[in-house]
Amino acid sequence: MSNAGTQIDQPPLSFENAPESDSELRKRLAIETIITQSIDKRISLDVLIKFSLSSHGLVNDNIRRVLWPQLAGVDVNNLQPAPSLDALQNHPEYNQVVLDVNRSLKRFPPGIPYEQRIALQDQLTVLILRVIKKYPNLRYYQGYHDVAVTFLLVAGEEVAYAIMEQLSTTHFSECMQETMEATQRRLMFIWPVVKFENPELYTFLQKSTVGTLFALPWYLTWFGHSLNSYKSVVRLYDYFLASPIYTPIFVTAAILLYRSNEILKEDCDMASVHCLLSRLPEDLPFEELLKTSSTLFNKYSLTVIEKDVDEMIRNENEQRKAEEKRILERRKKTSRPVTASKSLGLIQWLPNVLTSKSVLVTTAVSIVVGVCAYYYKNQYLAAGIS
Amino acid sequence: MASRKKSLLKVIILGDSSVGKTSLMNQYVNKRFSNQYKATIGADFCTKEVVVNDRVVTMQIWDTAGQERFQSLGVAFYRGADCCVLVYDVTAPNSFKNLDSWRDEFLIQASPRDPEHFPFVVLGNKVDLDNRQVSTRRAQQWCQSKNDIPYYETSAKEGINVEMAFQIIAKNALELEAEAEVINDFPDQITLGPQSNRPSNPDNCQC
Repeated sequence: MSNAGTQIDQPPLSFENAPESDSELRKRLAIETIITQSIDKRISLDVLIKFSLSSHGLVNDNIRRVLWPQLAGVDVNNLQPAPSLDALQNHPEYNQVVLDVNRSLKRFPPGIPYEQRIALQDQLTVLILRVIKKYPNLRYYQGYHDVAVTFLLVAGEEVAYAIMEQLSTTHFSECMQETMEATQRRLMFIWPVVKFENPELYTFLQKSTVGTLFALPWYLTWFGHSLNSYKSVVRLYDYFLASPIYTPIFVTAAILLYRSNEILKEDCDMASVHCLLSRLPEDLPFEELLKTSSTLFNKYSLTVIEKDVDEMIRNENEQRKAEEKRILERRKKTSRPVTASKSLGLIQWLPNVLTSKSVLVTTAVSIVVGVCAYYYKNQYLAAGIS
Repeated sequence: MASRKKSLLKVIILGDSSVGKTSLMNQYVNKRFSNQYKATIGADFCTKEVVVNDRVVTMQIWDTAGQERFQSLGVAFYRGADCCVLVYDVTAPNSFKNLDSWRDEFLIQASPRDPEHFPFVVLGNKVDLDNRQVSTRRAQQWCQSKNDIPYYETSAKEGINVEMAFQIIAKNALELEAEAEVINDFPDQITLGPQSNRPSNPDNCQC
């Protein structure tokens, strides 16, 4: 007997503090210098975006704590204190949020004291519920907690709330709609990019009918749910915070393109391809992938991509209809003995109704009724009742 | 009868959030339990080779997200399912009540040939906990009312009844296949040709 494990057997999140490389050191010093020279630690948005996009992003969490709020457009001098957990327990999503927060242990640094972790998990629940309470049109989804915990661990509860509020009304608003339909459609934006860049890969992936399910957790959590390296998660968050909405689509496309040789060697069926794609390799060269992503974003207009996607959806719908029709016909054919006897029954019954005998009886009854009616009419007329 | 021998069984696990779908799958496939599972986003799957009626078959077990809003994403992988496992948590009455809607939703989305006789299996999980709230009798009654769905009480944590339940799942799935051998609604998805050799390669860790 053999078996194969899934993501559930992934190693715990690695918080390992790799020694700072030379280029990281240089970048950190450059950023720190600018912050020290600034008023109120505020630096110009242009410079901030450049730092966030370029190699190593904002380098470490001390810098992120200062610059993430600025990047997200949050005013740290105008933060509201968090309500207590008790005040939010009646929220309809409370149970779902708690279930997910309780299962987010892997996102916390190993060795974190129990009490501290519990306190942070309560803060996480509060900050999620605060957002969805304030915006009743936004719905919590599983994965939202993965985004929130990233900001909570770096920036603390109040700043994290303000950032989540900001992102929920922009980047994640589509994911927070009543259904996942819009997100599903958005994920299809991957395909035109892959098609234009690598038609062979595109054809292969379409043929496998893998769909976009593999990329759903990536998109919904900015990869926070799927990556095992904490360092990569926060690096990607630097990049996404500084990027236009929908950028995760282009990172996803960049990953597929980067892995194309490996993918093309896989069996071309949904299960095999889904399995391969949904496991992100540990050694993805993210700096390179983010550069590709930016290039792709600049190269292809969203309008062109959208048009292509609409056409894909139209074709898929037509195919689905044809498929359904085919299945229906096949079922009709295979269940012919039953249907045949039933319809034969109906055919047998119909002529019975229309035999000369039945027609004769019906005619006779009609004549009798008519005669009676005539007779009574005359009677009433004669009696002067009419 | 058709010569097609299906050696792949597709099993879908459905149920509310946190009832233990991922844990059951992992206990069955990897014989392990961890308190540290993450919420499943979207869907994922494991494969395991099993021997049923002297036949080696590959079970492809699809684990799904429990949050309702992810249900619409299911169509793609519900299709062609050979068995559907409905899981509830014996300490959470709501998860039991929702079995009805999970079953209905599956039948709508998977649209199996013969919905009345499609093989479901119900698992009441977390029997190791002592704050049980749904009685065995109540669960059995529900299963009986739904065309006698087989019912098992499991603990993914302690490994109670997990192996046996999945054996039954495989057996029932295979029976459906035997009945449906002449009809093949989704040939592309279940025919195992040379281009799809993964499941038959036992040493290959698929996931």
